[in-house]
Amino acid sequence: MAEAMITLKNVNKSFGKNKVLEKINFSIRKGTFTVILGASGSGKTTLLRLIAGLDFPTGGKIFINGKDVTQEEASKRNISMVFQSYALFPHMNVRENIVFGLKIRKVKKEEIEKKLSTVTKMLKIDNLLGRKPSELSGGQRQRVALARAIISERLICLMDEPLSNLDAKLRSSMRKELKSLQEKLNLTVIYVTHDQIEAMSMADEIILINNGKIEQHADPKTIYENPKTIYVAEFIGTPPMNIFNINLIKNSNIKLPENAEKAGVRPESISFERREIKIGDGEIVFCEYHGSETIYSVKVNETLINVKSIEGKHTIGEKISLYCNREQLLFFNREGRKL
Amino acid sequence: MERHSLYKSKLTALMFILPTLVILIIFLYYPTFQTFKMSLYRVAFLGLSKQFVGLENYRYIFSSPEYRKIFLNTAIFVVLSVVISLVIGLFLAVLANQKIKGKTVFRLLLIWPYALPPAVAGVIFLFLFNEQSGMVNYILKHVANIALPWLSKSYLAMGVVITAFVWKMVGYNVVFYLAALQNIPKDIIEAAKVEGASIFQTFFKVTLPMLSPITLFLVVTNTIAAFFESFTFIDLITKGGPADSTTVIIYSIYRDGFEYFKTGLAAAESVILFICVVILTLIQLRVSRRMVHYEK
Amino acid sequence: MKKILMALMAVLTAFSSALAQEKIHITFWHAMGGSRAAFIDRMVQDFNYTHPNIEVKAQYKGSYRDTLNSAILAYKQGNAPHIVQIFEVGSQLALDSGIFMPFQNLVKPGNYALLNDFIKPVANYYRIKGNFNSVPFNSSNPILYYNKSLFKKAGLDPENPPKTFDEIVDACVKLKKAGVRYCITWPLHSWFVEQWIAEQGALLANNENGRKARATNIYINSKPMYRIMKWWKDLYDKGYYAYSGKPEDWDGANNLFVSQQAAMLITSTSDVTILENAAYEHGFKLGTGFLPVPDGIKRNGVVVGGASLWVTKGHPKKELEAAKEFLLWFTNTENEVRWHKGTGYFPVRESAVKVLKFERWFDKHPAYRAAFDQLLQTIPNRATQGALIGNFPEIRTIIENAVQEILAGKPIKAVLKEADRKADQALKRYNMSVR
Repeated sequence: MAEAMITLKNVNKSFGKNKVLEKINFSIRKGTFTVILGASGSGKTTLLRLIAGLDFPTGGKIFINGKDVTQEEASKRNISMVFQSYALFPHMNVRENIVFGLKIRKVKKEEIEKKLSTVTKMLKIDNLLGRKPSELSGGQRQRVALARAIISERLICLMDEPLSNLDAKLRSSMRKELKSLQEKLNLTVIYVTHDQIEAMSMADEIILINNGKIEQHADPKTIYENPKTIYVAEFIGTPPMNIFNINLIKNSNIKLPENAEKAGVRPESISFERREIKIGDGEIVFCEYHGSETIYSVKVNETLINVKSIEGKHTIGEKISLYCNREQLLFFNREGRKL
Repeated sequence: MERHSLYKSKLTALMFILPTLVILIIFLYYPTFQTFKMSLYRVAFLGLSKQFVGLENYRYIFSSPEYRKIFLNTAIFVVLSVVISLVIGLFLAVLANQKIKGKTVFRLLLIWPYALPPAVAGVIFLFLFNEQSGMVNYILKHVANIALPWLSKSYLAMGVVITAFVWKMVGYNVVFYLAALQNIPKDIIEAAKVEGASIFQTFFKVTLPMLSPITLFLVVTNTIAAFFESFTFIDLITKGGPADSTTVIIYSIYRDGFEYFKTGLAAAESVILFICVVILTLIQLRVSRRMVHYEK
Repeated sequence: MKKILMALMAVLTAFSSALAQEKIHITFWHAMGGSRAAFIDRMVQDFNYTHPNIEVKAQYKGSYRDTLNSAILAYKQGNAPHIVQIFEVGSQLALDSGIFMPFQNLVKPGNYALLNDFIKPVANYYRIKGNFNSVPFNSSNPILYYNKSLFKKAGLDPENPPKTFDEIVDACVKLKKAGVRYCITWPLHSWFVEQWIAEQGALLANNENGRKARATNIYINSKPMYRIMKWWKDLYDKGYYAYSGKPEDWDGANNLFVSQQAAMLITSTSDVTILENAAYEHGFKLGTGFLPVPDGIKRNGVVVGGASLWVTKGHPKKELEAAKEFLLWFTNTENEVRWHKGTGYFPVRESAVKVLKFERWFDKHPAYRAAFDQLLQTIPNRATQGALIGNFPEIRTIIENAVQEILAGKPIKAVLKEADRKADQALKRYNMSVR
């Protein structure tokens, strides 16, 4: 196992009376792609800014490569960053933008040229070097910002929702490109997003934060299959996990864990055919046809349950029974923690 | 190709610009033309009697050591006051842009001098730098036991009028720089920091270039103000003295034209001033094409 | 009560507007600001009241220069004021401008007694080539004001102010010892230089000070001028003389004196009233004396300063008559006495002087006496008549610049020579322009 590249210990951050982050603890290993996932206002961008050194924590410590950098300026942290707005220098052309950091650090001219050509070829922007940012498309700017971040060959790269300003198609191709770039350069990436698809598709690890606290820190598979809390369960997946009161299945003859208040099941785990557990009888109130699959909203005793099925033959108004297997059922206590 | 016009006919369009045109002709173009014409005459009593002398007025101005001194004074005054007022204005704007307590008060105080009528500002400076009873000498006397001849020593007097002008203009520059600074996206400054730039590198390589459009604007407006608005300060504080060492061209135009009744000469000086301002502005605009970056 | 008043006012307004139809309107532009403007307004009101067929409107037009400029511009546009107040050194300029008519042409020879009543030195100045071109109005000259309290403190005779340059220096030595910050002050103004030239019986311009024919040569590089500058510079170098640093700063000099930083002040007699009040407020006794003169010369007298009233030409006869009537009334004996008492400017008529003497005015107000005696003792000749120079304002600047250069340490002779050259050149250009 690779050593910890970034470690946060008991980090707090508040703006005035407003607590934005509370007791943040985690470690990130070298060469991993970590996604900080959360809704807007959850504190994820603040967390990234603390790591970057653009803001400073009100409590706790931050280590990079084993060194305490809690009070160190951004310029000394040896990291690179891609901003949501790209933050390209508007008065410089593409070339000047990309080599800005190298020039600041007085890297030799030949070396700069060599790196520049490698990076721009890799990102396919070598034909844009003379242009000003205002003459570039959104995708091109994104690449320039990336180039500026990776040319420095700094091992840590922070990205703040870098894809959110791109259109859907470009976004999905960039996801793949980013991921392969990270692997190729063995970068330690911390990537902030509110988009769970981005998180699931790119992350080695996901740190899901809610209201300034970490809900769960795990790999995507664990997050998906074994969410620690109802919040996580409901955040991940389209549509998200169905959460319902335990009473709905109390009369099915299975043994429920102690203190279980709520139960959860993924829409794709529900079947219309008989399985170990019957969730209940209901009526289809809505269907959403996606081609390869269809999402049905089924009303069971006033509870709305989403079902994802490859069967597209059912229609609105149809009475139907819902089943699932025992191991697909998750149980949560009163506080929303998984049992 | 057919051209679409908003107005039915050229006449309609003309009617709309006519009022402005008439005002411009009466109050701008015609007087300018008259000034050019007047500069070719030897005029007495504001035009009551005149004789054509061709370029004699210009010849006289360019060959006279007194006028050469006036041009030199003007150059010193304009260059120093523009540079100093811009540098201080930018410096204070950067300070005012920080997250500090009471910054609204701070900003208000900075802007206040500009709101003051120049005549009042001039009198304030006269009181400050009065050699016997001025505040500045009073303090100097107590602190260092010296008193400087602020108004009777030529370079000090020039310093005083430049200070007065700078003090007045700084507020104006602060307002514009502050607005421009607040328009610079925070991200861009942070990006520079992340790339390893120090505060100074960030300022000189990122902030300053991004302020270039406003700087150009301020250079042009400050230069023009230095040429023209210096009049009040000089008239109130030094009257061009000691021994003409603070007489700049605008003050000389006033004196020649309205105190000495050398209207033709004053007209020629005005024309020279006009040409100077036009040339300077053109140079500034040309330089700007290389140096100034405009956002889209 | 209020209603009655209102009704009365309404009647009066109707009455006066009925009269107004036949009234002759006269405009009068002057350069007297502040309390003096109010004083003029009061006098004009009295005139309008006593002359129901004439309506004079007095307007303050700023400085002397501004007033003259406005008059010339107004004349060009065809609506010149009837009467304009013009400062003494503007006399030649006013003549050259050609927009004024000689006042004497309006007065019938039978009434010349009115013109002959003007006191000698005043008449001397304003009678150009035998004619009164304008009516003398406010006249002044420089006198020495001194702080009797500080004089006493320094062991000087408070009733016997210094009369010569050397006596000033001697007094300064004692005053300095007694702890006075600066000994003496006066505004850095060419006017004083002109006065000291006249006191030495010297001329400022050729052709008998420009009185016999148009002046073509200015005498700046002269012995009398050198004497003045040498003394001035010595006083300055020893720290006896101080000025605010700004040329022509009358208030600055007054402030130094009033604040008792300087024990002596040389300035216009027209400030007597102001300075008497200020001295009282600041708790010191004010004395006045003659303008100090260089040693070893015979006191020749001073040149009349101030201004006169000019009539512009081109108005209908009726209006010119009205203007004349106003001017003669405005400067009559009674009004001269009022004007003097109110401002400190001289009464310019012999008869007014007689009235004041009869009232023992000078005994009651001794501060006014020096001003007066100095004028009466002036010997009428070309020197005290004052120079007529068309571009006098510009010559003044040249002289003031020379003084500043000398005080700043440049050699006197070289500065005077250069100033002389500049002045002659400037005059030549002026003369060419008026041909």
